[in-house]
Amino acid sequence: MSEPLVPVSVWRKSALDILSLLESNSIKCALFGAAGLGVHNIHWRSTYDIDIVVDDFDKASELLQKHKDRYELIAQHDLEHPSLNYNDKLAVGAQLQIWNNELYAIKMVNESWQRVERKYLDDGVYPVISLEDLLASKVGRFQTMQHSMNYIANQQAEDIAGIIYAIHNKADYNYLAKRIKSGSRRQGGVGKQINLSWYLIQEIPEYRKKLTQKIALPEVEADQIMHDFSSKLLIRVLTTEIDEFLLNSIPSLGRMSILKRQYMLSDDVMNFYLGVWKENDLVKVSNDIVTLDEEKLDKYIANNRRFSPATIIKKLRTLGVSDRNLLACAANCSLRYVDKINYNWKNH
Amino acid sequence: MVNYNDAIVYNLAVRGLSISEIARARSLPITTVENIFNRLERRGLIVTRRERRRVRAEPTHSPLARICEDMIMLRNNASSNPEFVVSTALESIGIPHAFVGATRRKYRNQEIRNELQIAVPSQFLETARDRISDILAGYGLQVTSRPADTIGRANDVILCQVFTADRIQTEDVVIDDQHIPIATTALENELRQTYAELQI
Repeated sequence: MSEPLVPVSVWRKSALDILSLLESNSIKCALFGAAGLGVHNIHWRSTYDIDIVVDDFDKASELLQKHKDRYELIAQHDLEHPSLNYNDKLAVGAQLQIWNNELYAIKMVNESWQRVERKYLDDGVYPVISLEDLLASKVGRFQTMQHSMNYIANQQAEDIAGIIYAIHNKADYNYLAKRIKSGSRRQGGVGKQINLSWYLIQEIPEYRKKLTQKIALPEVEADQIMHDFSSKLLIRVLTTEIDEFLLNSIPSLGRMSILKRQYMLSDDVMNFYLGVWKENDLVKVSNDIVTLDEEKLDKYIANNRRFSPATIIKKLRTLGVSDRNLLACAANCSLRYVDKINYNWKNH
Repeated sequence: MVNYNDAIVYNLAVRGLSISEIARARSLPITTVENIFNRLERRGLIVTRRERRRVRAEPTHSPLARICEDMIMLRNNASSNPEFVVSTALESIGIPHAFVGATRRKYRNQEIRNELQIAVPSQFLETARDRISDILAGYGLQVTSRPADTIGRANDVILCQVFTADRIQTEDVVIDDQHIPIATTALENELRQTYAELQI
């Protein structure tokens, strides 16, 4: 990597300066990335650049242009990810990346701006995106970077493991699921855009590994935390991408118990996918050994079937999933459905 | 005399935060913040004013105010570079030491985390641990050897892991006239085989 890593003491001062400059000019802004992680007190680490998302990109770039004695424009990203890179001339080595309502792979929406927190640290006030948004923005970075930039990829997985440890028992899973389902990332940086849920399911074993390696949790505790996190999240993120990924991993894993343990799937989630597969005659399960009909699989995937809210609710109902979970799933599918379910539930 | 809590409250108060906002931001009881406000006002650092039900502070030109700002700077420096203060402290009581793992990588690979990994001879293990926690407590920082304890409190708690080595082999890195003894590659490799915490 040619860019230098910016130490915490440098980026912290630089971030504080630019945030106060943007805020004093009535530009909504928030930190994310490694800096956001530090401000949320997860862990402080050096970074290549300080990522800041703004709601008024044009006004921000105009403002920084006025301060070009201090902030020098050094790069402009493509239209797909509109962002500007500045060099903070006073804080030697600190680079600032200003993003236009976007967090790497997800868009900032009104709700995300409402969830921006103002963190009062001992040296000042830092606006920072919520931990749910921070987690969703980092999903997929391990997968896309692990072959080209292994060191950074590992850092991303460690960051997510830290966030999971901090929020697994207090996160807003409905919101997190919504953010993950709304985001997408290019496969390998240049391939086709794939939903973040596809990356999430693949990265779950890596997050678990980091919980034991970097956060030094005992295996049992790491399992418990990951199971708690993934069971609450994956029941709300029932997507075609996860379905296809799990189907494709059946031949290599071979057993239901291994599949469940590898990707930390709860009974509800596993039964949901299994029900869909059985309905389409895709798999046969006998004594925990699961066999896949690969001919039918191709046809099944080619159909590009999407899970509609109706399919999800119907399937989960037949599996006896509790009303609370059912509502949560419906909330992620469509608001119309929530109303309907709420109505039925109240009149039941 | 002002302590670190006073300095933190002072810095937030002069940025316009009320007593209740400071209490919420720093997870302190309101009465503690009120007491600090009273103390700071008695010593002439701030003047308080009431805005409806909120109490806010305005800074004065007290020379002590500058000390509060410096204290925060010192604390942040000790938090991001704990090896500076720890190295001086251990040298003063004659404990040979070498920075290993994450702290060594800071000077070799520019990978910086607020972690302290240090090797000392086995007979000095307990003394070194006590001295490190004492010196960092002086900066208002707590020390832990469990990485999980730092998550959510990374601003106040520093991960400090002390390892033992038979022979301390170091190479000096000089930063701002201060010598930081980091472990040689041989010592680092030797310890990496013994301790899982040092593996990358």
